[in-house]
Amino acid sequence: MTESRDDATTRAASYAVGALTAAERRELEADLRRSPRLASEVREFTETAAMLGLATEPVAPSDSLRAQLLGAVETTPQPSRVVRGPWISRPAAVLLGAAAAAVIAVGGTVVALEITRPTSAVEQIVAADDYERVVHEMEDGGSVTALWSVSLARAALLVKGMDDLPSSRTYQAWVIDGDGHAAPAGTFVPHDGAASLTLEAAMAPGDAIGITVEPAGGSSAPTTTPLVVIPTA
Amino acid sequence: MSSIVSFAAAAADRRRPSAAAGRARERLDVVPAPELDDDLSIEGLLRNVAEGDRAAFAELYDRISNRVLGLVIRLLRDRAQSEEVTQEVFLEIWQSAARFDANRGSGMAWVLTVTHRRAVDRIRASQKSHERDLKIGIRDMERDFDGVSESVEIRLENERVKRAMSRLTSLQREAVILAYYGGYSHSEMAQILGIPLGTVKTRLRDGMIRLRDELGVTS
Repeated sequence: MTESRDDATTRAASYAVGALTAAERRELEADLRRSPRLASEVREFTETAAMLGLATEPVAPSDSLRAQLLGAVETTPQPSRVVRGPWISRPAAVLLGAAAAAVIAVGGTVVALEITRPTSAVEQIVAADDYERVVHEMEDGGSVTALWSVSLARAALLVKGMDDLPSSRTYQAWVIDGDGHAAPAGTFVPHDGAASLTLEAAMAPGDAIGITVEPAGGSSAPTTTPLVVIPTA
Repeated sequence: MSSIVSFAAAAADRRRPSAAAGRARERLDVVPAPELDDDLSIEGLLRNVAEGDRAAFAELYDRISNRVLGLVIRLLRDRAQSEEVTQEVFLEIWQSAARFDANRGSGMAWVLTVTHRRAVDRIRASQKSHERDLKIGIRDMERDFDGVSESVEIRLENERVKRAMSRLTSLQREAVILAYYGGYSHSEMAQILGIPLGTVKTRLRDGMIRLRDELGVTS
């Protein structure tokens, strides 16, 4: 790409301060890979613009925003290892709100994302000062994430990659105390292998969280060997 | 619109006491600090976020969310909308941190680029942007550059930015301020200022070159 010095500089300056239209912006980003001069100008002007950004007065967001975001990242998947695009790429279209579905273009591939607004229970747990989480990777590639707060005596499970069960069966969660007594904590049916569940049973320090397969409707005590038991202490 | 205030002249008249030391210290750690352990730098945190590290995400949020919201509010003014945009920014960071490439710029610049773009997109999505009161915008700017409520390091940055800005001609400064802090596009600026598009571009370019050189930014 043979772009005159002036032209590259002019475009890069306008790009860095956000004065380009969306179409001009995309055009410039497409040119970045072909024009080292343009890329270098963009880099310098972007750093310069960032100093303007840092010259504004910082404003602390509300506490609820933090809790919402930390809850959202627990349930929002990241695109699987992205092909590296240009440094500055078109922002992904992210929709917030109850179970918003977004389609984002990642390095030329289109990835559909399901963004579920976190339940308030999960938000409360992740916002707690003593919030803890453990990820248990299953041998078959699935994973179970346990989130809990002892001060709230609440826990939640997020599962991924779980097998579908016949309709006569269900997954059931348990809160298991130090004596091995298992209290039923709710049943769940994964959708595309994923599910989230706020446990119905209260948690005490040292309790473990387990999952079994039970007859549809659930059981009052486990009837099968747990697929997973996650200690919380 | 030649009545737009030259911020340097007005800012020079302002003298305000510095901010409470406690608040200043609280904000110190939001400045990219090269002496930090690599994992704790903004760049290191972004790398870990790209790997799905939620603790790194929380750490990053705690470190820079006030800078993100500060910039968004500067552009949008409305607090509720600004928090929404801040949320979008952090979700975008979560989902596209893998695109950050430290060889191509600092982590803070990447985050602020995402931030600025989202804020500008929000402004342009609303027709009200054309009716915004320019003079109020410029007046706010003077206050910002006065830098009274900033931390020591940020105040230093601010002093540098203020000094650098004062080296621009008033027309260049006006163009940079309208674009970066006002979110105006080329054509909006041409309309507002009553000058040809080419002149807008030239002023922006010359202003940014001067700023870059004054701030000592090099690749």
